[in-house]
Formats: sequence, C-alpha cells, structure tokens
Amino acid sequence: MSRVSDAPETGAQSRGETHGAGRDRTMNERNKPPGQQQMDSAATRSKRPTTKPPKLTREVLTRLGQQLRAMHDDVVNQGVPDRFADLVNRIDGNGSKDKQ
Amino acid sequence: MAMDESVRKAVLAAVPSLRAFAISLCGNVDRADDLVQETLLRALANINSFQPGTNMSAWLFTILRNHFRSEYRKRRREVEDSEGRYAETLKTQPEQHGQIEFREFREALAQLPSDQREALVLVGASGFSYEEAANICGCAVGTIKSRVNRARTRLAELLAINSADEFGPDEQTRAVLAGGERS
Repeated sequence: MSRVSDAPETGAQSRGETHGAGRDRTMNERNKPPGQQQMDSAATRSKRPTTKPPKLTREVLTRLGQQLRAMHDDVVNQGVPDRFADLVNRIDGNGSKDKQ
Repeated sequence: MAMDESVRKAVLAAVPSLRAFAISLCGNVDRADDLVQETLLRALANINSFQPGTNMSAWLFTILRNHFRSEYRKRRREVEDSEGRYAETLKTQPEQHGQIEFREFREALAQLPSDQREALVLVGASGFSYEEAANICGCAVGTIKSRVNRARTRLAELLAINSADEFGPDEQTRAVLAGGERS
C-alpha cells in the first residue's frame, strides 16, 4: 500500500518539473522568431561562465602585458618623427637651421 | 646653445617611448605630439639641470607627466564636461589613425582613472621599475604598486566583458609568446 501513496507524489514532482521547465522556455522564447530559439539559448549558456569578472591569473597578467607592450611598440617602431629630430638638432647648435 | 653630443643622443633615443607614453595619457596622437614637443622644449631649455649619468628617459618622462598634469587640470577648469569630451577623443582617435587592433584595449585603458593609467603604462609598457615609476609620479613605491594592481584588475574586467571570447591565451597570444621567446 505504501507504493500507492508514493506514486502520486512522484507523479506530482515530475509534472511540476516538466511544467517549470516548459514555462521557462516559453518565457525565454516568447519574443524570438522561430529557428533562433535553440541557437540563442546555446550561446547564452556557453557565455555565462566567461562573463564573470576574471581573477588576475598568470594568463590574464600575461595577456595584459602583451597588449600594453604591443601598443607601446607600435608607436616606438615609428621612430623619431622629423619634427622632433629637427627640434633637438637645432637647439644642439649642430645645424644652421636657426639662422636660415 | 651648446649641448653634449651624448646628451643629444640620449634625448633623441628617449623620444619614441616618450611619444608612446604621451599617447597613452592623451589618447590622441596630435595632442600627444604637441605634449612631446612642449616637453622637449622645456627639457632643452633646462638641460643644465639634468644630472649626467642619471636616467635621461626618466627625467623626460617626469617633465612630460608634470606638464600633462598641469595642462589637464587647467583644461578641466576651462572646459565643462571635460571628462565627457576627453572620453570622446579617446574613443574616436585610434580608428582615425588606423590602430584598430588596439581600439578595444585603448578604450578600456581610457576608462581607468588617470593615476592608475599612468602607473600601469610606466611599469607595464614603458619598462620602468616600480621605484622609477614612483619617482616619475612623485609618490611612494607602494602607491604605484597598488595603482598598477587596481588598473590590471579593472582592465581585466573591462576586457572580459567587452571581448569574453578573445580574452585569455589563444592562438595569437601563443604566437606572440613564441615570438618573444625567440628574441
């Protein structure tokens, strides 16, 4: 007889779960065109862990350092623009640009 | 005005990284070059106060940084909503100069408080020690360390939000690492 009393509870639980999941899906997909529904929820799931604020792991520090140096090197590789070379050389008194 | 050839060479040698620092501060190449020009004029006018044997680069960075600070403070008083305009300049500038690959990083950098940004750039890009950076900024070494740490944390957050998929070691990073090991 105990089986009989257990059965309705299990049934209610599983119905409740099904209903809940069904309701969530309906809410999420209500405003989306058909066909994008599955892709969108898959994308949301896969992005969820990476949107957390990252800790300063070795990888993060390495990446930041590379970006900083790459940005720096990009400018440094342009060398000394003529205007600054002229300026420093002129004041140095080597050239005769003052007098010209 | 006569200037020692070695001093002249040291000034010229410092110009490229001085420009890089100025661009990081201003977020605008034209304004940065004006800042470098003004810095060089000031430095050359006061070249006698440079102590031979000390770090020319650090000396020039200090002049540039102080000049930028005083000019920036002036501009803030003069221009209402200077923060907003400043941010706009930072946002539009890199694309104009075709540095699209650094656009996202520069935008994130531009969102940092200026004292954190300069500390991070001095240590992480210009290659100064914490002690040298502290001298340039006129503050304690511990202050620089804490600013650099806060800057890194904030940047990591900003970049993870803006480009979650790209952040972290990827193909490009490995290529850069491999390149770095070779040199």
